[in-house]
Formats: sequence, structure tokens, C-alpha cells
Amino acid sequence: MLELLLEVSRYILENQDAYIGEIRTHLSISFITLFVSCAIGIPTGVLSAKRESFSNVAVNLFNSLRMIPSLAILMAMIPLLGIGFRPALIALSLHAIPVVIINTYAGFKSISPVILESASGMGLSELEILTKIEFPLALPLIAAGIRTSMVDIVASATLAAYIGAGGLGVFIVSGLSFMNFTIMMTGGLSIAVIAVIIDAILGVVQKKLIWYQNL
Amino acid sequence: MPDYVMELREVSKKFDKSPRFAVRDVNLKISSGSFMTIVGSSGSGKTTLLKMLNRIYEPTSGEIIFEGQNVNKLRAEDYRKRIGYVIQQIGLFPHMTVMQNIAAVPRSLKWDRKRIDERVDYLLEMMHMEPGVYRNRYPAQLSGGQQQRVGIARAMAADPSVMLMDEPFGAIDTITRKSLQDEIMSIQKRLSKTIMFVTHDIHEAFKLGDNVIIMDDGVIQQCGTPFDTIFHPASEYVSRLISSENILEKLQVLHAGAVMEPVSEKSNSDDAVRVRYDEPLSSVLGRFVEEGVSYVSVIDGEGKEVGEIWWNKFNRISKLNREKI
Repeated sequence: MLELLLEVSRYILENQDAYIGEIRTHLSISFITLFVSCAIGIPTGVLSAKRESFSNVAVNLFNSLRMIPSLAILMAMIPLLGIGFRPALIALSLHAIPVVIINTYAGFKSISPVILESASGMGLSELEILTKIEFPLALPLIAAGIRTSMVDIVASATLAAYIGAGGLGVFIVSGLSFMNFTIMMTGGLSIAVIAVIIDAILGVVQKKLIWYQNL
Repeated sequence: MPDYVMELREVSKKFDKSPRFAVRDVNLKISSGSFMTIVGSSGSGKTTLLKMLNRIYEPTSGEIIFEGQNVNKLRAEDYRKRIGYVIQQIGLFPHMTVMQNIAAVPRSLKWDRKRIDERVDYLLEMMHMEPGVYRNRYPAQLSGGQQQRVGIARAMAADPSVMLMDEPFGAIDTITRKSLQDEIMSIQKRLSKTIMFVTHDIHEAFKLGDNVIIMDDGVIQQCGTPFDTIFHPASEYVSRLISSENILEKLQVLHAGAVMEPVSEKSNSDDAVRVRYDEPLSSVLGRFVEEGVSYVSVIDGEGKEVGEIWWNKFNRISKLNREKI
């Protein structure tokens, strides 16, 4: 085990530039995917919470898309969008969006109707209620969704390498084709470490968001 | 001509899912500065009626006039900012401090910071909460009674002329409830707010209200002073509601202010026996027996003489009571 770690670090040192480049690619794919997922998932989740009819359609649609394995979606994207960054982004987003939607929906539904009644009863506008009451109160659950899907995205972004989008998956793909365990582990371990670090950071952020529940 | 702050004309409400009317043909004139309590069992329509007053529910038919305007002509948001609303479950915003909770409506009305700060401190002091101690606390750090004090302060933030209160003390322990009742009575008198107060507790209704509305099955059974309601019940339902109480209990729920003859200027001698306007009649009766006097003078919270009660009032009360039984 220790030997393997030494070999992996030696490989990283020898291929420093490539390694840092792929980390950068991996992270940018992940963060852009997260951004797109939130940009689509959060408004969809809010709408779902507010309009029951809409929620049935949206949640079911995205949930069924989620059933399709990421790799299959990636491959299916090739004839439509070719290879590279864009199909990877779409495939990963389709995977992450449902988690964001469901958590946003749950976050809004978790707000006590009494709070909403007193907010509208005192004459706050719908926009004020949304931005000052509902969103802050739903934020802890929305953040939990973002955390879950971010870890998911970082791990799944590995597959982007299969369609030429780069990222740390590149080491796994080439390690597999050369049957080189060290290269494979370089990719695998790095992804795991990054996922754990991001999860820990988001965990701290999430804790900060629920301060008022722990008073 | 009395000055009505609110008027309901033939107001009815039927919910889509229910076969019957929750509220039926309610006509009501609410004078400015009156404290009206609405009492009834659950399902009587009392809360539905209250919630139509600030348009949480829209009436199925009929109209509601507020300060001379049909409320449908006003934007719900603007209208509600002129009406205070307090509910049993309080509904404070858990992620906001006491200060931010109270400041919600003033901020929405774009008051300047200084004015908001002063208003918040004023209201906290009025509710007997030291601003320096409580301003920056969160609702979860307050007791139930303190939370409802903040709830009342929040409802009064933009100085509404009308306050709607939906069983505000229903979930609060007996001792705290009593002091909150006394405080809301004295605030109401001092600031001459119009209060519509829903409760299922008859004692509370008679203690607080200048006028008591008794509702059953979506219909107002009787609307009158506590005295009239107890001694001249208008319907079978009301007399059944009242007859569950014996005469002493009836005297307990009536307070001196409800039966006194008002006096405009000081007329009685200084050594007259004094009772407070909110003292229950049973204890006023006790004073008569103890002191052996023929009248007592009634004073308000500040000790100013506002009325008097003569001993023969009790003769009439007991006569009325016998007739009903």
C-alpha cells in the first residue's frame, strides 16, 4: 500500500504539468456542471414546491433521466454534440439536476405553513416572502442537495475522459489501456481525495447554514 | 353617527371542498377602538370570518369595507400592512432576530433605519421586554409567552388601526396568559386600537371584549356587550352556552367596566370605595358585602375615575338570572 502511494507520488511528480492540468480540467468540469445544475435545478425545485402540477412532471422527468447510467448518456451525446466538454457537461448535469430539484423542493416544503401564513398575513409581497423568508429557510436543505450532487459530480466527471473532455479520468482511461496500475491509481486516488475535501468543505458550510436550528 | 372602521355586508364563505357554508350572511359593523371577541366551538366559522378580514380567505359573496373602501379595491399586500395579525402558533421567523422580526413590515414599507430602531425599542418596552436584552435574540431563545409578546409587537409594528388576533393565547400557560390578557386590554385602551379577537374560551371572550360575537354553524348568534349576552341571550344556542355557568361564574366573567354607569367628571367623594374597571363583578360584589356601601366608583388603569356601580345593579342582575332559569 505504502509502495503504491510512493509510486503514485513519483508518477505525479514526473508528470506534474499534465497532472495539474487535468485537475484543473476536472475541477472546472465539476464546478461548471454544478453551476448549471443549480441554475436549472433550484428554480425548477422552487416552481415544483409552489405548483403541485408542475412538480409531478418535473420530478418524474428528471428522475427517469437519472435512471440512465451516466456513461450511456455520455455515449448518446456523441452523435448529437460530438465529443469534448459540452456533451460531458450535459450528461453530468442531467445526473445532478434531480438531486438539486428534490432537495430544493423538500427545503421549501419543510417550511412551516404557519410562518408563511404570518408572512403573507402581515402584507409581505410574494417576492419578499420568497427572498427573505422561504429561501433562507430552505437553504440548509438546498445546500445538502448541492453537497450530495457535488460529490456525485466530482466522481462522475471521471467518465468525461471517455469522450475526450479530459479531467482526472484521463489517467484511469490510459492506465486501463496500458494496464498500468500506478497511472490508474493516480487518477482514482486523486478523485477520491478531491471528493472528500469538497465534501468536508461543503459540510462546514452546511453546518453554518443551520445555526438557528441549534440555538 | 358612530365611526366604523370596518363593515361586513352579507359576507359568506363556502370552501370548494365543503358542501356547506363556513360563514353565512354575516353583517357586522366594527366601531373604531372597540375590542370585539369572537367566540365559538371549532367549526363555528370564527377563524374563517377573521381570515376574511385580512383577505387570507376571499369571501364567496358579500363585501368588506375598510375605512370606507371596499377591500377588494385595495392591493392585498398594502391592505394587510394596515391590519395587524397575530396567530396562535405565533409564526415568528426563526432565522431572524427579535428586532428583524418586528421590523419586517416597517422595512417592507421602506422606513428609515432610525425610525425602525426607535419603533422596535418602543414596542419591546411596551410588551415589557428589555430591548437591550431581547433585541438581538432569536425566537428559539425565548419562552412561549415571550415569543407571543414579540408576535404582538410585530403585528403592531406599522401602527395598524385594526388588529386581528386568532386565539393568540391558546397555547400559553395559564399564568402567562392572564398577564398577556391584562396587557392587551390595557394596550388596547391606551392606544385605542380596534381589536378582533377569536377565542374558544368563553371566559377569555367575556373578560376581554367590549362586545362579544357568538358564532355557531357559520352564523353570528349574537353580538352584544358581555352583560347583554349573558342576561339577554338572543338564541337557544347562546342561552345553552351561558347556562352552563352559575351566577357567580357569570359574575366572574363580567368585569366592572361592562356594567358601570359612565361618569364624565369626578362626582363621587374621595372616600368612595374604588374598584378597577377590569375587576370581575364577583369581586366587586365582595367589596359591597365587605364595605356595606351602596355604590362603588370605577377607576381605569391610571386611577382616573370613569364610572360607578350601584348596589341595585346586583338586584337586577339576580332577577335577570332567575328569569332565565
